[in-house]
Amino acid sequence: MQAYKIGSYALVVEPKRCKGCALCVYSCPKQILFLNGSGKIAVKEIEPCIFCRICEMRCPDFAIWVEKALTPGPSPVMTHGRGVA
Amino acid sequence: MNNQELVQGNEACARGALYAGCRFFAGYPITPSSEIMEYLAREMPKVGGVCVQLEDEIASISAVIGASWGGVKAMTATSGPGFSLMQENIGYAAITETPCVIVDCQRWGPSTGQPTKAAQGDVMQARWGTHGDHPVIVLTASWVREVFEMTVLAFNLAEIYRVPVILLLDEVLAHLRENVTLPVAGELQVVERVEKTNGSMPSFGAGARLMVTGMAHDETGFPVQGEKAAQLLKRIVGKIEEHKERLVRYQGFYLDDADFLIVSYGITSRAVEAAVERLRAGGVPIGWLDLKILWPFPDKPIREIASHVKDILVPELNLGQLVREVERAAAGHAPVSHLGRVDGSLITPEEICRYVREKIARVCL
Amino acid sequence: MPNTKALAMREEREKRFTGAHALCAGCGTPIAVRAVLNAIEEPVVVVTATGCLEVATTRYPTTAWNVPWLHVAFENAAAVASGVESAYRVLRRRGRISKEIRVVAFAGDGGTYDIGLQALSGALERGHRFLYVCCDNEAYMNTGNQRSGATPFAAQTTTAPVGQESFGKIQRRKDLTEIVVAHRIPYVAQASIGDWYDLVTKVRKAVSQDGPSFINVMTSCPRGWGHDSSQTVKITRLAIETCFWPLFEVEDGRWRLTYIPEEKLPIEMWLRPQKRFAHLFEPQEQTELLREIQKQIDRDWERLLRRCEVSASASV
Repeated sequence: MQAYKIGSYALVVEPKRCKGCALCVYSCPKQILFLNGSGKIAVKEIEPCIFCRICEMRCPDFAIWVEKALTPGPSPVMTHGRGVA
Repeated sequence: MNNQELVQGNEACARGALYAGCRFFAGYPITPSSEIMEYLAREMPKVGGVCVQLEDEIASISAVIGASWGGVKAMTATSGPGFSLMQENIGYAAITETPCVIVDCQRWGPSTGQPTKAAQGDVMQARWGTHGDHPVIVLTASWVREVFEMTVLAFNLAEIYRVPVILLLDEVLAHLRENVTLPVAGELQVVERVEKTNGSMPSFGAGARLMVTGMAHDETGFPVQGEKAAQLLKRIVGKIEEHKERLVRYQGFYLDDADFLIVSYGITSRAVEAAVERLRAGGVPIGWLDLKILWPFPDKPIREIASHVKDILVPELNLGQLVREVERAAAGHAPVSHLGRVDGSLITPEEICRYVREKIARVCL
Repeated sequence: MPNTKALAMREEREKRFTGAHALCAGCGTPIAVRAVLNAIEEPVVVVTATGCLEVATTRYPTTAWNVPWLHVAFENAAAVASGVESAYRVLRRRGRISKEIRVVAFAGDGGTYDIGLQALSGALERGHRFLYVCCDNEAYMNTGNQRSGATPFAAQTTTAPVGQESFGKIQRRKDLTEIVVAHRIPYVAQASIGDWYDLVTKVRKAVSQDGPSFINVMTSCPRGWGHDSSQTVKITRLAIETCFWPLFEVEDGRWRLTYIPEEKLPIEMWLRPQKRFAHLFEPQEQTELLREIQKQIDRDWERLLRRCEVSASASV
């Protein structure tokens, strides 16, 4: 699981759940997502992200979501579990 | 000369139906039988037949009955849940003496169960699924080529006895691909429908006034009650009962000197064959009865064998169905035990060998 | 009406449907299910018919459902929902339950258009208060893409094959939404995962009715339709823009379009990206068939427009 933070928001991806359909890649209005070499979801760059949550709501597999980060910090950071440290 | 091809059980069934002259198929998708309809959807139009998908299994069997009275050989294929939906109309086919073939690729459990796991749990449903006393013939098969042959036989028996004939397959056999040489034209006997304008089964539009009804009726189709109704039921059930000797079909192996007997059918027979060879090689006096037609049930042969063996084993993929029939037929001459497996996997030869060896050790003590 | 963020927040509070199910990559159905369940504020009981959604979300030893969930058989989702709803009403009357609970039935097009139609019709006629959502992917996808009553004209399926004798399905799809409208229930709508906001708005409206409601949701099947998994939403969007799948609702008998395309796109734009229609374009273009399909859609669209106009003028 990987979290990408800007300010108080984080975009979290969970490659283990991803089936590589690329629906989010195609849906992202800022085109910041891509499928990596293993065909799993990854973030190209987080800066343009507007945290619109379209990727989250379109993902059939709950593999990508937006969270309110408790402590703003540099991105990307590795996190474990749903809560972003 | 090599006409071998890799054929799936379901495809063999569909090809057997075309070989037997089936020109109408109605069905509804259900795992593990869907490939039969898919194959016939492609191939049926090429021989001038009709393959149609209906809105459910009730409609499918109804259309098959309609088509049969319309004058063509007709079939449907399904699995357990769909087979249950068909039961009312199987009774209708029995009382109206409509020749038709119903293929049931058995899968695990009641309801959705495990659609991709094999079982032999529809044996009693095949015989007693519909209501009331009724005649049916129930066939089974163990090998892909046999699926083809039994499908042809199912159509033949349906035409001869004018009953619904049920072919019991299972998920593994339905999806199994085997290298086989399928029968060529003329190799197997095909019983044709006798076209008549009166008497026995004229088709609709052939000139006769037809009355087909599920109500108690006489031979002209007019409703009856009382003694005449009793006569109807006795006659249609008698069609099978009186021809039982001719109908029963099984294969016996090593029966002459057998102390122990295995009775098996369908997919389980494949494991039994391997087990019997192994046990015989190890000097175990085992015999094997491989049933091809489950109903009518071979009462007499089983009773005869039971009188000179010490023990009978019935391995099947259920919690005890055909074993009851074997027990009834053995009539106390030999104890009958059941080796059931219901975890979705097949019974293995090792399991049978182990069971038999343990049993022999106990019996001989 | 809730926006994307509000619904995501709803999900954060309570995850009703979760990931790690075994539905295919790019499947449209979980998108619909998620949206429907997030759009409902009240506690829900879910009934599903047999289908991809049922088997893939409840694979041994896991389940994707975090709400009371009931599957009975293929043909009876509406009948089962009737039973659940009736029992709930009894318990409410006796004071055993005080909460407002919503009953939602999910079924595929096979379980709704074909085998489940009788149960659906009965439940609608009896007037149970429940929402029936048909996830319409236009064929029996769970058993391997056999044609259904929802399969469109000229689409290829395994039981409507393409060959010398046939160009795929030779019959037109039946208009189930219209059949449901004929039951005169409080709320009927046609929606799509291609317009997500429209879908959740309709769900909110549907569950607020004191009676049966029905939403027919188009959910694409990448495997059966033959398009890239990333195009699931795009394809359903194209179905809206070409007027193959218009978005409308019928509230108390009043027809209303909830979305009117600025420019109605030619149906080819929806057909061409799907392999199930490939035979219409290759080896040569079947101009006659394409014209016929366009004609059917134009006629249906005109009819729908007229209906909505009549409703609009009647309500003035």
